Amino acid sequence: MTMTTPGHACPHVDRHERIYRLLLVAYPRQFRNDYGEDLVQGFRDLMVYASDGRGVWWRTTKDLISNAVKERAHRGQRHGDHLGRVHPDQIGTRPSRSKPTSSHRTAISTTSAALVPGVISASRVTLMGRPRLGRRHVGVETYAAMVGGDPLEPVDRVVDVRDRPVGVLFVDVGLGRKIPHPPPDTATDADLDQPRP
Amino acid sequence: MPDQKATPDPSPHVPLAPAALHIVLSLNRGERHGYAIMGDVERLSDGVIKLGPGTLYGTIKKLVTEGLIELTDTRPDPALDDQRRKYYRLTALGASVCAAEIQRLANLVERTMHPAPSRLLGELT
Repeated sequence: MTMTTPGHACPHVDRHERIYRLLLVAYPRQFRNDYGEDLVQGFRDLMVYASDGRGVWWRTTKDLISNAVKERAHRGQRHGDHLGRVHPDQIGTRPSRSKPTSSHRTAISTTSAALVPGVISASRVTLMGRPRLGRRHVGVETYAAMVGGDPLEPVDRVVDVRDRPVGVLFVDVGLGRKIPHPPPDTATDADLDQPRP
Repeated sequence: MPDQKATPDPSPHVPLAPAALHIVLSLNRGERHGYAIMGDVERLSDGVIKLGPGTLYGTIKKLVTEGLIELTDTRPDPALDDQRRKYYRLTALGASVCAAEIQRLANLVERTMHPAPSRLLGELT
């Protein structure tokens, strides 16, 4: 086993370490949780044993930028893969001020759901996730409703509805199961947040 | 019949990316913590590859996920080392991948330095 002497805590290293710790927000939260302390430890070791602190910062900053981008892209890709398999029926929504329960019904305008052929653009759903329905804002959190054992529909059956207002897609909050579509003209504000019988 | 464990098949993991290859080569020489791996990689590559903490732990995460390396519980004397450090070692699969990579690179060097006669003839005609 390879051993080196312990890193000596000294004020200038502590200061650099605090700055580096702040910069770690560039990484996705999960990566920070798993490896944040290791990253800091690696940085501290580099600082302690380096003759030139600026050299360490140069090396670390390049490394941090490229890897944070890579980790975020990787995370986004996994997220996209995950949601790319989700049928629009399985897009869940929930009002921002209500506790999501399976008996609660809400609606999301399909024009806001940004469903793209081949890919359900989950990030867009999230970004556009506060559709104005009537005069109300509905805070929407999309999530992959993976509950239930039904096989997911192939993604290529999803159609682009962004530019075609086709009414309101009703979903069961918390379960992601589709409630039968009402005719588009019956979708009103009164339908929102209406408890299911 | 001797109780022999089958050697894990390295082929799905070969070839490794440069950072992963150097980390695996470093751990093939023994258990190491992150900073020791960084130093070892720098020495092994004659200073060409300088891993930063992000590259190191991003690659370690991938290697751990693929089962090529693992955390080890063994710790040196607290007086000699920082207890916050984590040590990694190769798994059986990692060792198998490392051996396959060394063989692959040796073959590559061999074929580059000493091309087969038939290939030379082919180039002349």
